[in-house]
Amino acid sequence: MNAVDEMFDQTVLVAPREVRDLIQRASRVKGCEASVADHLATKVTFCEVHYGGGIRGWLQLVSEDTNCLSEVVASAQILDSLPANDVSEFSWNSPIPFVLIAKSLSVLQTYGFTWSCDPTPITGDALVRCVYLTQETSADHLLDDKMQKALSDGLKVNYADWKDLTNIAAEFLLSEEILDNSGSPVYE
Amino acid sequence: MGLLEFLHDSDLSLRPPEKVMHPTTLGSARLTRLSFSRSMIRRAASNNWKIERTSIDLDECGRGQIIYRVEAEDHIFHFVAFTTTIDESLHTDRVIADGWEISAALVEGELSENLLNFLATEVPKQETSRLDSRVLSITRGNRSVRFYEYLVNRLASGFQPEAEKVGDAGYIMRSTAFYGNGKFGMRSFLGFPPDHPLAAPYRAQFLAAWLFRETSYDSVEYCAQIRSPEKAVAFDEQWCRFFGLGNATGLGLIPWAMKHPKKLNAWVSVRELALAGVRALPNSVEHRELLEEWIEQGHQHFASFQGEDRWPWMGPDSLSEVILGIRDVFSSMDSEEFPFDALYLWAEEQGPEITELVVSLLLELDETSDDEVDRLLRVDNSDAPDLLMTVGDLNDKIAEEYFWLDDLDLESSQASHYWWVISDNAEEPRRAERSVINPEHRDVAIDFALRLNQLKNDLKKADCDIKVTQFLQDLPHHGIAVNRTVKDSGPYSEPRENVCDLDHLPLNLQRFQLAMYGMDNFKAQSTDWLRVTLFQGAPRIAELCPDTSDRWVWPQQPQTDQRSSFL
Repeated sequence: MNAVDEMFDQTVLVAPREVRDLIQRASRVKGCEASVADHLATKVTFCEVHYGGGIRGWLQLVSEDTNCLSEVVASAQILDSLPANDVSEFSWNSPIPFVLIAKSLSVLQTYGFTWSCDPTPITGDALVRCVYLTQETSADHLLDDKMQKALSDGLKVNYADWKDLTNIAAEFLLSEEILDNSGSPVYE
Repeated sequence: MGLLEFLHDSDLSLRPPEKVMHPTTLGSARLTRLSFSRSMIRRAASNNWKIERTSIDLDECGRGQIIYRVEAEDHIFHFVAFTTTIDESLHTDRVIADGWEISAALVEGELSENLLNFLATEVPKQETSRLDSRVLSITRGNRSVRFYEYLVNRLASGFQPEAEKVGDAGYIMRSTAFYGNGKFGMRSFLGFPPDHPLAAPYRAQFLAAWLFRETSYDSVEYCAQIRSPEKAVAFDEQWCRFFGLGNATGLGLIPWAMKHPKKLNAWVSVRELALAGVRALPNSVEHRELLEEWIEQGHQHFASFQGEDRWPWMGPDSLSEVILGIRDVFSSMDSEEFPFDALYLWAEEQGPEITELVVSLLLELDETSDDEVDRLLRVDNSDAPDLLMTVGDLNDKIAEEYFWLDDLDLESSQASHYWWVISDNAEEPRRAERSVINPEHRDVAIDFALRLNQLKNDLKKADCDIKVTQFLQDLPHHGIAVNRTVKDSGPYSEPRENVCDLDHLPLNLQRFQLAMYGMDNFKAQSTDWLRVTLFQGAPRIAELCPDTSDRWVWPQQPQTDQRSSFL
C-alpha cells in the first residue's frame, strides 16, 4: 500500500468548498431544484465542519428514497424562520437527520435562542425527533474556530462516504460528446 | 473601515454602477497598478522576498524537474515544476487535455522527499489529483510550439533571438489554468491568516504564475547550455524582460464572476475608489509629469508591438494612435484646476475602450497603500441570513437596486436561449442551447437575471408583511435569488447583463477579470475564449530587490542584436 492509498484508507482531507460543491451537485442529481440544493449544501457543509457526519447524514437521506430529498428538506425548513413564541417545540413524525437543522439552530442562536434536541445529536447523521427552543436574554454564539481550522488545514471526512458522494455528484456533469454534437459554443 | 463604509460614506465622486458594470465597460478594462500581478511583485520586492532556483534537472529536450525556493516574511514556499514533452497534436488551449508539458505546484513549507514524491505523483494529474493543505496552487501548460525550439537553438548558437521571428509571441510557455482555494483538497484562501504574505486574492496563483514564467526562461537557457556548453548564451537584458507567460482563457470565468458578487464588488470598488481619488487631484507638475511619462511608455509599447484590430477590441496599431491623441488632449489641459478629471471626462465621450485606457493611465497616479487594498479585497462570501426581513422590505430593496433588470427584456424567448453546464471532460464549463438540450438537473444556476425577474414578479403577489423566510417556505425555488438580494454585496456586485441571453458576449466579463489579474494583449479567438499574456516586462527572480521598479509593464519589443552574453 503506498502513501496515497494509506491516506485514503479511512479518511480523506477535503476543503469545505469541495463538500459544498459536491452536495450541491449531488442534490441536483437527486431531484432538488437549484435553490434547494444550494440551501442543502450550506447546511451539510456547516454540519460536517462543526459536528461531522454531515455527508453521511445526506447519504442516508438519499439512500432511503431518491424522490423524498426535497420533501425532507422542506420539513426542516420551519427552523429557518424565527419562532413566533419565546418557547417552542418542533417535532417530526419521522425523525430527521441533525444535518438538516444544525445550521438553522446555529443561526437561531445568534437571535438569542438556546436549543436542545431529543435525542441529543452528536453528529450530523444522528436522527432527531424533537427540537426545543427557548429565547434567552443573551445570545450564545457558536465560535467558528472549527471552520477556520477546516479552511486552513482541511477537513477530515470518511473516505467511503466521500467516494459515494463523488460518484453521485458526477452525474451532474453532461457528456462532452452530447455537448459537442449539439453545437455548444466552445473553442472554435 | 470596511469597503462598504468607504463606498457609502465616501466624499469622492464615484462612477455610477450603471456605467461601470455595463458589459462594454467591463469588457474594455485594462491592467492597472492594482492588478494582482503587479501588487504581487510589489509585495515581493518591498518585503525583500528571497527567491532562488534550488534545483534543475533537465535533459537536452527540457524534460525533468525544476524547483524554486521562496523565503517570504518568515514563510517558506517551494514551486516545483515537472516538465516533459508531448506530441504537438496533443497541445490544446482547453482544460480538457490528457497531458501537459509542464505541470507545477506551489507548496508552503520545506520540501521533504515524501512531499516531492507526493507532488510528482499527483500534480501531473491536475483535475484528477488529490492534494492537501500544504499545496496552495497548481498549474500546467505547454511550450510555444513555434518558439521553444527556435529559442533554445538560437541561444545554443550564441545568439539572441531575432525580433522579427519571435517578437509577436510574447511568451515561451502558455498556461491553461491556475487552481487554488480549496480545489482538489488544496488550502482554502480564507485559511491564510490575514498577515500571511499570500493572504490577498490570487496572490498564491500569481506567485505560481511568475515562477512558471521563470521556469520557461530557465528551461530554454539550461537546454541551450546542455546542447552547446561552449557557445551557449543566456537571454540578454531586453529579452529577459520581454517574454511573459501566455494564457488561454475560456468560459470558466463567467460562473466565477456571477457566483461571487461580493468579490466582484471588491475588485471593481478598489479601482473606482482609486479613480475617484485621482480625478480629485488638483493640478500639480509632479502628477502631470508622471502621467505624461506613463502616456509615453504606453505609446512606445503599443507602437513597438504593432498589430491590427481584432474583434471586438482595438489592436496595438489603433491603441498607439489613440494614446497619441490622449497625449495631445492632456497637454492642452495644463491650466485646468483638475486636469485629471478633465482628461477622464474627455475620454468618456470617446467610447468605452478609450475611457478604460485613460482609467488605467490615471490609476498610475493612485497612491493607496498595498496593505489597504489587500485588506479591502479580502472578502468573506458567507453571510448570516436575515430572519427579520419582510417581503415588503425585499420589494423595496429590489426596486431600489435591481431596477436595471427592466432593461434586459427578460420575458423574451432569447433571454433564456442558453443555459450553463459543466462537461464531464475535466469539468469544463460550457453553455448549451435550451432548444437543443434540456437542462434537466444539470444547469449551473448562474441565470441570476432570470431568477431575480421571477422573484420580483412573485413578490408582487405576496403579502408584504410576512417574513421572507416564510415566503421561502412556500416558494423555496426563489432561495438563490433571495440570498443574492438580501445581502449587501455592494454597488458594483452585479454585471448589468443576463448571461443566458442569446446576445450575451462572454468576452466582456472575461476581460474584466483578466485585466484585474494583470493580463494584457487580449486576443479574442471567438465569442467564448481568448488568449492573453501576463508578466511581460516583469523582473526575473534574480532581479528582485526592494528597489525593483513597478514600471515594468508595457515593455517595448526588443530589437535584433547580435551581441551575446555568455552564461
